Amino acid sequence: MKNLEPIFSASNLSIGFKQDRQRIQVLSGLNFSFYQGECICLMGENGSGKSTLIKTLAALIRPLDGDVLLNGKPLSKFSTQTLSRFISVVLTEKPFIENFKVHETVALGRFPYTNWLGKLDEEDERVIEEALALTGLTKLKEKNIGEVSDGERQKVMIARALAQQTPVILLDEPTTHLDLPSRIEIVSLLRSLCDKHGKTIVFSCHELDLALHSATKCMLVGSTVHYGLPEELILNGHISKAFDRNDIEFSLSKGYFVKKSAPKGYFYINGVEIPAKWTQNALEREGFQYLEDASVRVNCEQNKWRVFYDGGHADFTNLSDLLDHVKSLNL
Amino acid sequence: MGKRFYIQLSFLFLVLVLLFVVDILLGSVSVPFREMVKVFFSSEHSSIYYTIVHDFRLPKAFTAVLAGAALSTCGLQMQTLFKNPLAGPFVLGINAGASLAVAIVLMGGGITLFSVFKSASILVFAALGACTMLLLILLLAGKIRDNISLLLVGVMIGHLTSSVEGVLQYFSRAESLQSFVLWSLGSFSNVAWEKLFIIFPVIIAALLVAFLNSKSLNALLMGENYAQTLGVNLARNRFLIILSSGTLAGTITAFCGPIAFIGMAVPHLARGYIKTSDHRILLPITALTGAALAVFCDIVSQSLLSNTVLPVNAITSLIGAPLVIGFILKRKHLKA
Repeated sequence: MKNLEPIFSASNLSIGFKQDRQRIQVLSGLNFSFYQGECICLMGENGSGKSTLIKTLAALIRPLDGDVLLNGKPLSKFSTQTLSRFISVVLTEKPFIENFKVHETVALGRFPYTNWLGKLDEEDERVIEEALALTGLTKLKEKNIGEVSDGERQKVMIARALAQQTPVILLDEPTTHLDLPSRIEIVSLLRSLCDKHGKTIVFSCHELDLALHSATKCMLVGSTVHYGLPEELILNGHISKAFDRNDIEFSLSKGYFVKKSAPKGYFYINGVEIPAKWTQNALEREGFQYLEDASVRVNCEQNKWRVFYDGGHADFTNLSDLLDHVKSLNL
Repeated sequence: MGKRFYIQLSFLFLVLVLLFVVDILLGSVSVPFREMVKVFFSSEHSSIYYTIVHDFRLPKAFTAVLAGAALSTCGLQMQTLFKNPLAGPFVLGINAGASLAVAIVLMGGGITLFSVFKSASILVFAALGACTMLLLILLLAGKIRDNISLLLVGVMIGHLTSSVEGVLQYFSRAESLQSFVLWSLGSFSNVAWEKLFIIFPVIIAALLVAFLNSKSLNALLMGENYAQTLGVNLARNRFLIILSSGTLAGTITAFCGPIAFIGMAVPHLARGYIKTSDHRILLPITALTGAALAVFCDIVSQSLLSNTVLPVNAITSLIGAPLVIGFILKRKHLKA
């Protein structure tokens, strides 16, 4: 059940920063309410203001106009000490630390709970171990933070945020530097934290498929701001509008972006489903378009292809040869 | 903080005590070990050795200990504050700030260094000069994101202050000029017991402030944004760091003259020794290492040539500069 009171809310919020005494407004007229347990993905082009919004939510920069309410109270009314028990962050900036072990870095997340010397008690140690286990870092915990890969370091920063045990976690592009499986792993982890632990998570990310994979809500940040289910934003055409450029368009049927160009030719494909899907993928990448009554017709079987065209057919046992042949047909 | 830390700490302490004893024994006049023990444990105060050990070598060795601990702790705090592994009181012109303040007091104000009350006022001026310079550099650091540029600016500020000092020298009287030039060579031997009694509590207090702040210094290593979201009050934290490092560098500069490279090099030596950036461990180790290195430099300065005492500033540079170059070469991107 959803709490009726939002965790974060804002109405008519303007955000940006001040540079040389000038207000540089990045986004304005923002209205939103984020509820407990939601996993919200911020999407938008580079420079659209995702990071600025995350830093504003983290109270690292002040809004230009309006106020962000945390549990109904303006962020500016919280002390940094109190906020550190509500909000933890994972930022894009690279920490200065090198001679810190992985578990020592994660232990920094216990900062708000420990005494003046930062002494860890049993409960602290348990929370740290749990955070390491959740992010799959237990084996690396004795390693130096300077020795781990970029992706692993990102996980360390996430584990550190987990160790801070805050109801809200804000992450600025947590999946950059990560390989494909790790990306899925991280966003799945974020989602399960929302589902199982009731955390509220706001993260920014470039990859639409990751948002589709995990986010409960998606905020599209740009000249206009849209908020809703990721699928709603696709169906409303907001996603394609937000990212459309001269040469790239969003394919509603495929769910990803494709190059806009006049097709080099048309093809029809049938046969065994999986090989047919990837053959179609290869042909489309090379600039051919699928059409019901195309003259070039490809029939797929497992590791066997037959291409029919005006005046004959040809058989292939691998995809590269098929591709070369279709290209040479001069459609 | 495990057992390993205490073993390493005790080992360093032992080394320091050993160097301290050697520092007292060696010099233009060698003191036999038996005579040194006598100074401590016998009530006979008339021998020439008593005068040498009690009035000269002991306060000098203690000053070296304090100076080494102070400058290296200052350097460590600055490296963390500026997120710059090459930061230190000397390169960023903090010594220069203190030194300018002292120059103004010595040459402009016409005060001589000899009475205790005046030592105290010089201490205050030097500390203020150092803190002001730190604030200035911190302001500039907000504008200059590039580490190397900031270091260059520090060097420029150093030149600027020394040219102001040059102008002051031109206009000052011969006696005050002489005391300023002697001071600027750097030495641990200008500090007699009564001055030591002023420096000691000030340095200990500033070291304590640094140590009490070590948890926040650790958080600062993550970057200021991270530190703030961990609950660190950045403004208060910066104030404490500036107060502590300014007092440390200023006090030592006021009484020993500019001592180069200890502040920059020792934190790296300490990190290499204990393999961690955790300030709770790193701070005491850095202070002890700094103390030991300063005493070592003092030994070298007074025993390298048989009948002359070399300026200690030359020795710290001679040892410190190659160390720093070594660190830079060894690790292409230096980090804390």
